[in-house]
This record gives sequence, structure tokens and C-alpha cells, in this order.
Amino acid sequence: MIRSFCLAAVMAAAFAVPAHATMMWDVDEAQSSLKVNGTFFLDFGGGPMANSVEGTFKAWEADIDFDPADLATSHIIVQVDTTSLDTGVADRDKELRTPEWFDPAQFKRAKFESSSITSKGGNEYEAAGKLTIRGVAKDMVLPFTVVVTGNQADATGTFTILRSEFVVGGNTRVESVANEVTVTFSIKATSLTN
Amino acid sequence: MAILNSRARYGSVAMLLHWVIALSIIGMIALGLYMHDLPLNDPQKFPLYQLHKSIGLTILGLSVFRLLWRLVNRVPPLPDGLKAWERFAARFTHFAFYVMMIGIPLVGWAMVSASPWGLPTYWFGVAQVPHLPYFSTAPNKAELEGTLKFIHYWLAIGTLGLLALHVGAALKHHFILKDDVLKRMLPGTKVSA
Repeated sequence: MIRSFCLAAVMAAAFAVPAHATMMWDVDEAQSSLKVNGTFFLDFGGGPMANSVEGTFKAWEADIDFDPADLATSHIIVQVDTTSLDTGVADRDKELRTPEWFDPAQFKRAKFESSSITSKGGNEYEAAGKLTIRGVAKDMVLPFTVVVTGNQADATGTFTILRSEFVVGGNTRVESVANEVTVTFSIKATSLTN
Repeated sequence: MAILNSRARYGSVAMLLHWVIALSIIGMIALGLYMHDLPLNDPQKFPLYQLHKSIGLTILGLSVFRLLWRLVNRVPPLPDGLKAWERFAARFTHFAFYVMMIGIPLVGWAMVSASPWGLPTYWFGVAQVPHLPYFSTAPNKAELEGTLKFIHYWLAIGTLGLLALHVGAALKHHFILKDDVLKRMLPGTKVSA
């Protein structure tokens, strides 16, 4: 299902104070993915053994206003429904929806909003902005790669965050569930402006 | 005490297998119910599941050996004077127990193999036990695990029913009929030849 938040963004832009030359992108959610990878440790009798877990967020929206020729006015907002994380194990997903972890009753969405996007040469970019998870906002710089073919864009990126900085799983020691969580995204979008 | 069974009573191998497996089964039902209800973040949950799997695999091994032992050895005959339904009930219960003792751990092993958690199984932390191939590679693991869990649970409940029949009959023979049926399976008790 293709969501067109850009329509709302364009309308908001029309009424908002800063008029900016926009290049809006329509994200194809079916072809895009937002994954997280973590590690948990279990002792079977021979010392802690690392087990990896991969989860996919099934519900998220990306509001992408991105023009490689006009990065100064480019702006990206990604909002994630934290209750939509699917790690393949129902009991585990249910646990992630408890107050100790994502606490969706209070903080249903995680969000990244860029404040500036810079080119690192070629297809490489960096989006500086705020990542907000479980109500905690942290300044982040997210590297990503964009390949544009005609009016199709392929954006990919990966970054690692510490769950402790966002107080996610606050009662679970890092010896049980590792602090490092890697986020990987792959977004396919179609340009809405010619 | 003789190692082998005789016409009069069970030998020490049969008795050892009987009581070790019986106590293990009772313990395992209690352990299974307790561990299943623990919340996911309880630190005891994971170790208790590993213990349950280790004991379960042990029961499986002992029960397979027990079945072979039973098939190659003589057994004391059913006591005289049983009605037809009692003979049927005795044979059915014992047969059903063998099905449970071997079937329930196998279903448990299949269930673990099908689990989306994908965790390895270690026998008492010392030997890794492989997953059963068909179950670990099934495309619908979560659904399969759910079905196997249902079967595992209800077979265990069925075992409680068999236990009630079995223990009830043993006590009836011992206290009401005052015969040797229970004594035959008790170490250290003499029976009339």
C-alpha cells in the first residue's frame, strides 16, 4: 500500500512559512525495509553464547523531501510504529511492547527528523538530526547512500545505536541483551515532481 | 535381588527403570507447567526450560531401552481372577504408558526443532543435541510449533489420567485385594513364589 504523506507535506508546505523548492518522493513500502539486529546471550552450561535476533518494523512512514542539487532545503522525517516490530517470535515481540522496552502505550512512535543533509561525495550523504525513541531525543548523524535511476531512488544505510541511551530494556542487563543495536534501512521511492 | 524378572516378580533393572522414569515424569509435568507460566523476563525461565529438555531426552533414552528390555525378557503374568475389563485396562494402561514415555519427549524434541527461537539444545549443558531435520526446516515453523505444543501438553495431561488409573489399581491390589501386584515392583519386598 502506497502512502502519500507527501500530499500532506506539500499542502503543509503551501501554508507553512518557509517556501522551499521541493523534490518529494513517494516511498514504496512493499519494496522497502527497516530492520534491526540485536544480540542476546544464553548460557547452556559452557558460558554465555551469543544469539542474534533480527526484527523488521512492519509499519513506518517516510516523508522524504530530498534534492541532491538542493540539499540545504532537503528534509527527511521517518516515523516508526514501535508496536510493529516482528522478530519472528510472538512471545518476544509481545515482550518488546511492554513498558520496560518500547513502552508503546506512552511512546507509540520512534522518529528521526533531519536538520541538515550534507553530501560526502558520489552517492554518499549524511543526515544530521534527532532520533527519538521511547521519548528520548538524541542527536545523530546517519550516513546513507542514494542511487537515483531516472525517477527511482534507492536509499540504503545502516547505523548502530545503544539501547541504553534511549532507556529501552532498562531492567535487562547488557550481559543478557547486548547494548548495541544495528538499524538497517533500504528505501525505494519514486519521485513525485518532474 | 535378582537382576532379571521372574514369574513371581520384577528384577532390579525393571524396577530401577520403573521408579526412576515414574518420578521423572511426575517431576516433569510439574516443571513443565511451572516453567511455561513464568514471564519471559524471569531469569529462571531459560534454565528451567533447558533442564526440562535434558530430563526429557533422558526419559526418552531410558524408555527406549526399557521397551527393548521388556520385549526380550519375561514378565510376571497378570494376577489370577481379573475380569476381562480389568485385563484390558491393565494391558491398555501399560501400552499407553510406553506410547507416552517415548512419544511425549519426541513431540517435545520436534517442538523445539520447530521453534522460531532457533536456540540449540544441550543435554545438561555438556552435549549438543541436533534438531530434528523436518521440523527445523519447515516453512511454517511458528504454526508447527504451536500444534506440537498443543499435542505435547495434552499428552502430558493424558499421562496424568493414566497415572490415576495405574496408581489407583496398584493401591487397590495392595490394600483391598492384598495381593502381590504392587510388591512385585517394590525393591526389598518378598513375594510368594
